[in-house]
Amino acid sequence: MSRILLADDSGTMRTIIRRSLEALGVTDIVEAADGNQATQLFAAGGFDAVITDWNMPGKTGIEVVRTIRQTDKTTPIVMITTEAEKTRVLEAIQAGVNDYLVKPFTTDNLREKLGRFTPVA
Amino acid sequence: MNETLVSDDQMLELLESVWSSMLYVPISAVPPKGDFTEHARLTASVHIAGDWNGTVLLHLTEPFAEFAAATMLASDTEGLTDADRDDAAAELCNIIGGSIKSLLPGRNSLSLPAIVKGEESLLRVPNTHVLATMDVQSAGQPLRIRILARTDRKPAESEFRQVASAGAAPAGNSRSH
Repeated sequence: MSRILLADDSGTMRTIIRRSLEALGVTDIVEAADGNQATQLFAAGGFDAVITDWNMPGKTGIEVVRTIRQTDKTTPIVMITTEAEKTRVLEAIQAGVNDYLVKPFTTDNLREKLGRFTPVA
Repeated sequence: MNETLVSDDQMLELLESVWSSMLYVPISAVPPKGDFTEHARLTASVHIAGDWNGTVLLHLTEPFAEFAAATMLASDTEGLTDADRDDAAAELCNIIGGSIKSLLPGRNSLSLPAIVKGEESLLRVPNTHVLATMDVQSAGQPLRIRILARTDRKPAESEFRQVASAGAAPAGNSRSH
């Protein structure tokens, strides 16, 4: 069973993403409400994948990714964000994101992205 | 809305995409209403800064904010808090703003969203003018989306024509949110 770190400053978005993850059979989800909390939780270890927003207070999602990649090159990271421009997608990939999903999204979209890296229903 | 940034068709398509994947109800454009303040009690805003500078506003009613929060959180309305309603409205505006930003030229950044409660007339974003207004209706409630552009550059003549044809008034500049 996958354990996923979910970082988004919007409680509404965290609930929506959590609901999608649960529909995909992922129930071990740890939530972070900002970038600093996300990096602190990740440092404790034990995550099979990370889902992060881009625009968050404290560390941005890109900063979260760069911080994680300083010590961990392999844990899959999927960014779910409103940042839709190609330049942003490239910036995220260069920072170490494995895949990218633009809001609004559907559970099927998330299945397609996350399913590349971790077992989903 | 306007010819130079986002067309009416683009805006409606963008809204339909957000509504269909997050709220599961239709949204349709309606003729502009001059006085929206009798309806709107919540305004969500997000700022865009960079090669283009301005603000995207989503004006909505409390019943719509409650509907949006209940739908997005898959919750009964009885269990909702003000924070839930505010966060749902903010996230809708954030997604709309991000989608609009992706249509703009150049490199731009999106701020975190903010919420103002009260009549629309209390909201002022300094040094901006109303570039575009679109009135829509969803779940039996009126909503208004506005794009404000910074006035530290001279707007194109076509922008003024579009604003005039939409009957939108210039934004004031006496108070910020």
